[in-house]
Amino acid sequence: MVKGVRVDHRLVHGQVAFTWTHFYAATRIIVIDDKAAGDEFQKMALKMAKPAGCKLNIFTVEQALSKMAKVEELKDSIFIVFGCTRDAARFLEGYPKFKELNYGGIAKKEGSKAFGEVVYLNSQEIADTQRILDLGISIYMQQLPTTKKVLLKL
Amino acid sequence: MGKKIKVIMATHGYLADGFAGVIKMIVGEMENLTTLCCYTNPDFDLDETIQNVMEHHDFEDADLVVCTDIMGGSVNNGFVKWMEKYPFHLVTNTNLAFLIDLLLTGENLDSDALKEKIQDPQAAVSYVNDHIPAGDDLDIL
Repeated sequence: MVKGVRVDHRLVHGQVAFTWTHFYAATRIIVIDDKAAGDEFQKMALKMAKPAGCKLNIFTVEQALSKMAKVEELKDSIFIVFGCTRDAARFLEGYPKFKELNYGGIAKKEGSKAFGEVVYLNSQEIADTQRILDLGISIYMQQLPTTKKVLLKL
Repeated sequence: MGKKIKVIMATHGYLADGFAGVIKMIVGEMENLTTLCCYTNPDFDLDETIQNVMEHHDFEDADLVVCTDIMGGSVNNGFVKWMEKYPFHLVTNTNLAFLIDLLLTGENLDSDALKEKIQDPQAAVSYVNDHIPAGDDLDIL
């Protein structure tokens, strides 16, 4: 069962590997990110960051969509992490079954606008976000289970 | 719910507050973590500070785990002297991985469970170059 879905440009890092994984009692993390899935070195680094006793998959959007029927059958507690809004939007349009999505960290870049403490969106990311909202999915910003959950409004 | 734990991070200088700051960033606010930054002012008295900590801790309510920075350092030495008098756990050479694990899963902790955490290779000082995982042994799905 999928317990949490998050966009985080750092993919599997401290907050994800320790805190959210513990919070969801996750036994499997699925990273969905075209760039990471095509980069052997980054895949290796993510594997190293994987928490003990937790399985890890790193998929492109296309691979992930083709695996979802199988994912639904798993007994695992699953935590899905997207690396960017673009891949999140593309995946969710193909699999619009989640009610909510956590924007856990989207890096500041030139021309981006601050929506939260660690959520910065440029025009492309705003467009992606609009596509996700149009699917009826609510987007909230929350770094950690103990910090406040703030609804994202464009 | 098991017995709670309280963790005191006690170090030379502001290292303890540094740990607490990173814990806040990675895990969030932890009510059961307090810090002791030793020797940050000339009037600092370690024995008095430790005595104060021990007298104010309710050992019936929660187990006390004191984490210090370095074996043989004065902060750890200082706590060693109190081990006969109070039933607290003392851990030294503390690192972030151990501390996070302790704070997230430390409930109902006996000394065996604590030793298991300390021996966890995930929390050991590690030469990363030798830890490069093989190319494609990702979990099959």
